[in-house]
Amino acid sequence: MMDRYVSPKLSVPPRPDGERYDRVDLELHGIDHSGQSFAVRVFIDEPDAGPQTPATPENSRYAGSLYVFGHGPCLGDEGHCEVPTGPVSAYDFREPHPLSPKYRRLSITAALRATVGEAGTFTVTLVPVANHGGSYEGGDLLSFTRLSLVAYS
Amino acid sequence: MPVPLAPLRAPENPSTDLHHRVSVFNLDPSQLAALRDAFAKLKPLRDNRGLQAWAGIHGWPQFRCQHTNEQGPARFFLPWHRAYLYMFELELQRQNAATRLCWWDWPASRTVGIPPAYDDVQVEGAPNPLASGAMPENVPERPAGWGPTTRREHGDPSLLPDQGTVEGVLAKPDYYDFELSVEEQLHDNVHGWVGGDMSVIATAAYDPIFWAHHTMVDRLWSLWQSQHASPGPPPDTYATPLGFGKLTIADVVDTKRLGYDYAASVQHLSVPAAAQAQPGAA
Repeated sequence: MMDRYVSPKLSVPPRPDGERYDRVDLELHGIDHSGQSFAVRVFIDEPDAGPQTPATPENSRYAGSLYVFGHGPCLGDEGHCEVPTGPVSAYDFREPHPLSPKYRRLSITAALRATVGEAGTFTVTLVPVANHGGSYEGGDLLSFTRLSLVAYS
Repeated sequence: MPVPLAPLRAPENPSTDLHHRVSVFNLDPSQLAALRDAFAKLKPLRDNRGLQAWAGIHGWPQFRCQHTNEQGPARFFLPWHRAYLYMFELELQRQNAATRLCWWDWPASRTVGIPPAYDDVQVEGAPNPLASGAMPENVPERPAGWGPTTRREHGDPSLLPDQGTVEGVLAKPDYYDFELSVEEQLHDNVHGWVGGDMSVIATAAYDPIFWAHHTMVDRLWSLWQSQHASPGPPPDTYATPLGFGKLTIADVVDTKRLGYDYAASVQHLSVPAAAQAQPGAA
C-alpha cells in the first residue's frame, strides 16, 4: 500500500497530423480493493500534491478523482480471501473471485490541456484519500500494478 | 383425479398497472409508511425472505454482486443490480403491497446529507426501520468495530455528486462507457461517502439506504436509455442469465416489462363511488 504515487515524467506521442487527441485517459490496473472504500485524486504535473492540495475545478492541475468500492475485511475462514490464480478446470464457469483486482480509468484531457498541453511532458500524482467520515484524510490505501495512458483520436 | 387447469393460488397483486418509483424526497406519508412497514416486517425474518438473506446475496456471505474487475469494463453491473432490486422489491411487496422502492436523489442531498426518511432515528416514538439494519451474525470472527446494527459515517454533504456530474455521465454516448462511469464516478463515490458499513461490499446491503442508492443507479440507466434511444447492452448479451431464477439480460433491459417506471413524484386520488361513471349512464 502507498500513501501517494508520483509517476516518472510521461508524455503522449504527438499525432502525425498535428491535431489534438479527442481524449486522453489515465488507467489504473490491478487495484487492490480488499480494504475500505477510497478515492484517488489525480493531479497533472503537481508532484508535491497531497491530501490538502485543492481538489476543485479552480485547480487546473486537478484532473478528477477515481473511486473504489472496498470489499471490506476478510470475514471468512482460512483461505476464504485468497484469490485463485485461475479456474479449477476447463469446466469452471464461475464468476471471478470477488477480490479480483479492480480496473479504473479517468479522462485527464482537460487537465492536460490546461497545464502542459498535449505535447509536453508531465508527471501524474495519485493521492488516495478515505472519502467518508468527513475527514478526507490520506492514508496507505492504494496498491496497483500498472498505470496506462491511452490517447484516442 | 383430473389436474385442475386453473391456478391453485390467485396472484397476491393481480394489478397490471405500472408502478412508479419516486424520489425519496417526494414520498407522500402513505408511501413512506408502506416502505417502512415492509422493511420492518422483512428485517426480523431469518429465512430467504428476510433482509439478511437478501443483503447476503450482494455481500457476505455470497458476494454475488457484479462490479467491474480487472477483466475489463463491467458487463453486467447495471443488469445484475436491476434484477436484484426487482426481486427484492417483490419481497417487500409481499409484506406490504403498496411498497415501492424509492430513489436517492444525490444532487438534492448536497444540502441535507442522508435523506431524513433514512436518517431519522425515531419515527413516532419507535425506531425508524430505514435508519439501520442488523449486521450479519454468521461470521467466524466479528471484526473489531462491528456493532449490532449498521453504522454510517458520512462525509460533507457538498461532496455528493452534483447535477453537472450526473448529467456528464448520462451524456456518454457509449453504453459501456456510461456503465463504467456510473459505477466508479457515482456509485462507488456515494458508497464511500456514506461510510461505515455502507462503504464496503461485505456489509453495504445490510443498510436500508443501500436500496435507495441502487435505485438511483437503476434510474440513471433508465434515463440514459430514454436519452440515447437505446437499451444499452448489445443483443448478443441478452441470453446471459443473471442468477435470479429465469431472468436474463433480455428480461431486464426494459423496466416496463418488470412492471415499473421512474417518476419524480406520484399522487393518486380516489374518486368517490358516487362520482364514478356508471355503465350505461347518459
